[in-house]
Amino acid sequence: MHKSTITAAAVVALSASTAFGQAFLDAGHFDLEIETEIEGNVVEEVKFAIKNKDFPASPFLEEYEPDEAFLVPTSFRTQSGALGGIADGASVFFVPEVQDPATLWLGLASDDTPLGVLENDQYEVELVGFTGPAGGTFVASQDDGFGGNTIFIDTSDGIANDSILIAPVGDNHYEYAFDTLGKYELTFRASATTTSAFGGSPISATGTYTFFVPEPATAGLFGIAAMVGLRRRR
Amino acid sequence: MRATASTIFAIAGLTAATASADSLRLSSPVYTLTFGVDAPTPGFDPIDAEHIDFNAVYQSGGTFVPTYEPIGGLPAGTPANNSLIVNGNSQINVPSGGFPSSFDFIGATPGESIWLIPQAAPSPFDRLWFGLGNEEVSPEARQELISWSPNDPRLSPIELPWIEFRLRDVRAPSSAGQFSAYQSGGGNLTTWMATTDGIGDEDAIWVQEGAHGHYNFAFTEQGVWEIDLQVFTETNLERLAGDADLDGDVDLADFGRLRAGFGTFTDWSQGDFDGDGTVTLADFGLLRANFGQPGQIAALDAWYTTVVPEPSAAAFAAGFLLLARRRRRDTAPVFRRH
Repeated sequence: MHKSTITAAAVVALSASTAFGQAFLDAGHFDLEIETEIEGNVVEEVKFAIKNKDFPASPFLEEYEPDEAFLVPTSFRTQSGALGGIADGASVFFVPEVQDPATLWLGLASDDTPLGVLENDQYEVELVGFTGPAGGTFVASQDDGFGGNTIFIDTSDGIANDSILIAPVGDNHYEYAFDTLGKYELTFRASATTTSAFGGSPISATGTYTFFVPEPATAGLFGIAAMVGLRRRR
Repeated sequence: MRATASTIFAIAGLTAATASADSLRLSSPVYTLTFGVDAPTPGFDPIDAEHIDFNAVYQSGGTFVPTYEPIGGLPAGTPANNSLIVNGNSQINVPSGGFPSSFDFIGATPGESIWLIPQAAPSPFDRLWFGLGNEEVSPEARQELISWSPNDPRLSPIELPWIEFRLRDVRAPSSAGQFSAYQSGGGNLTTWMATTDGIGDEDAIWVQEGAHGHYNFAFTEQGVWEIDLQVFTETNLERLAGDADLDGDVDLADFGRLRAGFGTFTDWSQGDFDGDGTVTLADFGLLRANFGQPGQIAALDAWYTTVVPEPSAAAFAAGFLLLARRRRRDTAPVFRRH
């Protein structure tokens, strides 16, 4: 069984700050960002990052490399009805699809990629690596507007065919749900083909993000820390 | 005794409208957003199938600039020049069994079509994705916005520099048309705006300064819709209540502005001095209390008697007495509202 090497107490003490070189992002609007660096008509580099969408009105930095931060879900519910591989009645720790300024709100985006660079104006984002606590499941889903949902990623059956298509101009938000406390490492690969105007070549990038799911009581303290942090901004 | 305006104000003994202390709530004019729901919008430049946000950008000094801000390098627009096209790809047929009853606020019946701008980004981008925001605020303007709590149970009780978008009116293609804005996810449903139960102060959305948000916007009819929004925020500005034209005094020119705006949803420049978005007798009272042309006050009182029926005048006087008692504790000659 994987065990987090960082205790909950230590996490609380370090909320909204950094520890061991990593920030704990527990409140505010961040995106898992696919950055497409373009020079003229050439895509020079594609890479993953964490972008702070509230910057500069935020206690956190404007941008982090994927390995520079822990992403901390602080919302909790008892699951009503199954959510993919997460069973009815299970404890669910989640990053919400809809913004609540008291918690982390996490998008998946490539905002700065202009339209017309990628074929079909789309990146395919696949989950290609997953580690977590024993029995831990991760589900990424999106509400359909009428109480149902679409599941894009569900690790309960492995990680084959777990992918999301995103458009560059979309700031795409999903619910990221976990059913077990602990540390999860999710490796994503973003891939696309550039349009003929940009060489018609395949491009891709890989990035590993770490989610740390604390105990609900600890999550409450995270919320307090987040609120203090938000109030301190002004 | 006949309660004339003069006697009312003499009784109230008001010499200046004052208040403490830590915020000035400001409203915007009403902005009309035109939506072409599966329909053309003659006279407008259409915006279709892209990610665009309506930004009411707060400006230093206490005004807002309404813009349509696109994501993805497309040209910006304005509500005056551009319409938002909710094309046929946004059409959904209500299943014969209907939506869950918790979605009754949408106002659609089984078998009917609705047009839905989704809260989640569409992929492919074959339809409008529309949000509300307040981005592109300058550093100077940002310094004027204070953190406050809307005290609305739909929001976390966190003080932030919120920007409020309040629904003021909806003109649908027919009298049966219904409009709503809501968010759903994780088993939670939050209705922010819905016309099925009328339009009131609860029909509002709050967005943090510097951010934007996405919602499900539902329209129950095909055709051209006009959605009226008014924007509010709280600032640390200091202003003399009644000084509509911001020239440093309260005179007949300011009264003329209030008179023109009376009874409408509008901003400070037209007489909304208490920041509730509407020009009422409360705003008139504030202006009159700070009025700096004693020789001309009869003109104000004459107008007052034309808009207030006699029995109401006495009640208004009583209200003014209370207002005066509360405000006399303060000394600054400005009006601010918590």
